[in-house]
Amino acid sequence: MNRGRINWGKLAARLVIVGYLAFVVLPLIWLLLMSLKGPLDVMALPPKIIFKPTLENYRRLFLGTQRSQYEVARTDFPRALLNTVIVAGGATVLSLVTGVLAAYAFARFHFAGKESLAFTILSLRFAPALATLIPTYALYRRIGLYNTHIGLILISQVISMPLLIWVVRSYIESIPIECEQAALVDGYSWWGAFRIVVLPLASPGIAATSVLAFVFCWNNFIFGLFLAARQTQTLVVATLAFISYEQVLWGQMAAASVMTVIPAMAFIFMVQRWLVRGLTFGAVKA
Amino acid sequence: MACIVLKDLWKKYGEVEAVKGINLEIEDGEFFSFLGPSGCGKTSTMRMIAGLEQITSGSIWFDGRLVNDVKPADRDVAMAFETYALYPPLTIRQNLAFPLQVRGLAQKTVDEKVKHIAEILRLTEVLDYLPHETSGGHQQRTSLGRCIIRTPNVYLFDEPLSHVDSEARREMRGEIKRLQKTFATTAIWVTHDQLEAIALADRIAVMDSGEFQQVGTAEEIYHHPRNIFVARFIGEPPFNILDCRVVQQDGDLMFRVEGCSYTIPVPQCLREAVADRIGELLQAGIRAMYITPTLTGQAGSHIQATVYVFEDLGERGVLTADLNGDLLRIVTTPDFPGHVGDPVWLTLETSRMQVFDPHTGMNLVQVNHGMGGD
Amino acid sequence: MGGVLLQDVTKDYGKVRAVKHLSLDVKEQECVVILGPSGAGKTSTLKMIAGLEEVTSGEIYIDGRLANYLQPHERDIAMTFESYALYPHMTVYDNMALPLRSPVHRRPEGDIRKRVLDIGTMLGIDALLDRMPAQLSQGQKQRVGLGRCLVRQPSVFLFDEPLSHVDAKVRHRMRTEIKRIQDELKTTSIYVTHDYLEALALGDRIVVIEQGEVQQIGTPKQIFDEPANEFVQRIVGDPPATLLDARIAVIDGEALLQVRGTSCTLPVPPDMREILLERHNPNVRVAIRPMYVTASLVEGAACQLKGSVYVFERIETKGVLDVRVGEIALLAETSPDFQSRPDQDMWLQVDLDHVRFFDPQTTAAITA
Repeated sequence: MNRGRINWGKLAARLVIVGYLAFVVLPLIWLLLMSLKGPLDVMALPPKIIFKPTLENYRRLFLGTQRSQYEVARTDFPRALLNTVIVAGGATVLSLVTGVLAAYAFARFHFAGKESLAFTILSLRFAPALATLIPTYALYRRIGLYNTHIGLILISQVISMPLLIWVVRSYIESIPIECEQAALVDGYSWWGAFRIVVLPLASPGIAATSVLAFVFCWNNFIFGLFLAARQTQTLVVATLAFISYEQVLWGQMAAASVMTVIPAMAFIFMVQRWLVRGLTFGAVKA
Repeated sequence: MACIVLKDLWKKYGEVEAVKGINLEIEDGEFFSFLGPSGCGKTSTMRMIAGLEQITSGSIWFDGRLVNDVKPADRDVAMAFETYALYPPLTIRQNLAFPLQVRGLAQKTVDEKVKHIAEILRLTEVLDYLPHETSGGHQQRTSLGRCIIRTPNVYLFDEPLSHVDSEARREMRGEIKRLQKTFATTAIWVTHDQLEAIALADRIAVMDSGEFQQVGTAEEIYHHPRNIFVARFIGEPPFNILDCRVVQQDGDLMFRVEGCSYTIPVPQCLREAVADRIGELLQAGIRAMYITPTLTGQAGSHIQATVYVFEDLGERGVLTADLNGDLLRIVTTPDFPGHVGDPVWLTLETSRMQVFDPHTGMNLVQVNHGMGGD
Repeated sequence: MGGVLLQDVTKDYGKVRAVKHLSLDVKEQECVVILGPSGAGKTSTLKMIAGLEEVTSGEIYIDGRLANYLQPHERDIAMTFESYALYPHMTVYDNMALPLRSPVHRRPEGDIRKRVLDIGTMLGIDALLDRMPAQLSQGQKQRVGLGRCLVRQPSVFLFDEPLSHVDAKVRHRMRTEIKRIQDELKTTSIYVTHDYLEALALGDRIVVIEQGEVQQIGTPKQIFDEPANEFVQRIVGDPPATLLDARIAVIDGEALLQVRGTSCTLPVPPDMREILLERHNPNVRVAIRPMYVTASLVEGAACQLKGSVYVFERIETKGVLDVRVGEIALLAETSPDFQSRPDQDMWLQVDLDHVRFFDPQTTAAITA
């Protein structure tokens, strides 16, 4: 690039990227700042950027409710965190175990109605959850799944399972079947061949979709709202409690939101390692 | 019909130099072949001639006209791709007819030509099928047919027969050659199969690592390889090479094979070339069909080796002999009675020998290699 | 080392019958080559022997045991695949070590190391042991696939077209090496290919198969010199033999072949005279290999046919001349420097001792 000659194209592109990043990241930063502000700072107008940070909001979040004239809300934040971990984690694990095996079946076997079945599973994602919620609620109450972890895990399959099956299926289809056959001939049973050949090669797809599945379940609002009560309340719903009739507890709500975002981000960073490793094995075709 | 000239043609993909400054003149009506192993630059060169790749530097001329910036469609070339590149929603018939219809030929003429080409390439039964409903061999022949149905400036064939079974391949080669001669269209055939190149082409350019190793007729390349690469690449079984030194023996010049005491008399044609290299290490070689093996020593035998393996291939036999760890390959009759481990005596037709410099790889005897600008 | 016995084996894929009543007895230490064009059923047969496909009907015995219901890892076999099927996420070393790490064939790591290094040196890939398959050339991948097959010492080796995707030059060299390995190891092998050169070079016996049916089983010599039908005649030999329609007629006491599509006649070889005249049907098919046809630019006393040059190809150590006689095309083998022009007159002499006759309806050979 010549000195003194500005590359307008590159500059414009960079500005767009910076602008987009700011658009995405600034609200999160603001949220973080908000969670560290005391009740007076939070409400200040114009908004304060320099302030005295406090961990009061977090303390209140974790150490239970406090009686004071500013609070009417009662929420059990640690419990909500635990519930969300159980539900999102459990849903992801269940989808992984059954979904990966189902994906294998779709990829390798031929049976009557295969494509119809595959499409039916995908179609579970077409309908908005709200449309099916009333019958689901009635059903859950009837069979006693209301307000249970299992109930939430099962309904979350509607979100995570189709995604997992469709993506992992195409990954498995791109693995040449001869690689599995070679393992069979080399002395492995079907399960051995699956473990040694299919899983490592499909791992980028599995990792990517399990991350997505986890995040979707973690962030899910509707199911948590309708199919759970106080005992099984999830984080997202719990955060709602900070909006009450008389006031909004901004500080604590911000703290709750930050706590909601962090574990999901941590999970993604952990799993990302497998994503990168899987992709650097190069082309699947030997 | 066009005469094609390449001047100092370069092609770089980022840092990688795929084609390094080649110069070539292809005559009007000539059947020319680019021959070389995978990655030698032959396909890149052809694609630059077609206009499908950007030229990094240098120039390409069709009949004296600079075509560097001319679009492929305007260069009037016809190309047959290795990967077929057929139009999926069109039937075989429509695929074949396409190039003619696009140029506005009368439907009746188009139908006749399609029928003729389909007959030559044995596609008549599948004319009304879609490409994905036919076999790979049919698809490749359709790709070929689509190329040769016109008479453009030049035919460009990119390994067009690689997926066709050998019997059909031989027949189609014959048909293509006859067609090319009848219409006297310049043709360029890219392949890694030296048998194909030798069978088809008037002249061949042997390429390696982006450079021409030798340009000449099949005869020249076969009998006067310019360097060791060409000698080894052309010929099946491959060219045999032995390390040896030239020595004086009883007033005669002899090749003494390194590592043993066998000597081979230096033939008349090589005397001058080796005269000032006495005592130096050289690489001497000979083709498989110019060695005669016998199971008992005879008067003219030069070397004794052991049978490594013998293959009876029906029409001929290929004997691989082990000489102190070096393997020599000899073409002989299919009923040669040698077994693994038997001693075997080899007699060489010395007038067919070639000698190479071990450092540069160049043949010590150079004839005009038509390299132009070399 | 055991033998493999196939009894009346049939394979159906839905309605399509890929293998029809195949019976084959592969003896211990024998190498049998299954030769046929693509789609003939050869890979299906191999996969049934390996246990990767189910047998629709018939029995397969490996080493004397009925193998139909055994899983692949329970049969003592090793296999190379047409596409090599290397494990893309493992190094060359791990690829070759994997068979010896499997539950059925487990060996201690020290033994594995020695074995992999031995085989690696034998195949010339010992320098590549740390590389990944994606970094290898076709020829190298082929060797690694072969190496993975050789690290164990199974009863039977199965080769599924190992050389079909390799460059021509590498192919010929690997063919020689495979022959050498077979000579050394002497393990029962079944080798599948569509290349007749590989079949002739490597097989103790050859099974020629077409559309699922066995055409002939014999030694390479038998397959080449005494083909049982037209298909076998044409599949071996490059260029393949020309097949002509002809009619037997007796003219002036001499038995002659009137070749259809031309006005030429060829004399009937004396040892075939009686057999051919006894037949009800005077029509026959005649197979002539190019190596038994001599072409010359001048008319000689021994020349039986005259035609015109269609095209000439120089192939390595010989030339192939395509001569049109009337409506038929006859191929002749010539020296590589043979000079000719299209449409030039050419005289041909056929060596009648090496001509073979076939029945036009059944395509079976007519033998004395």
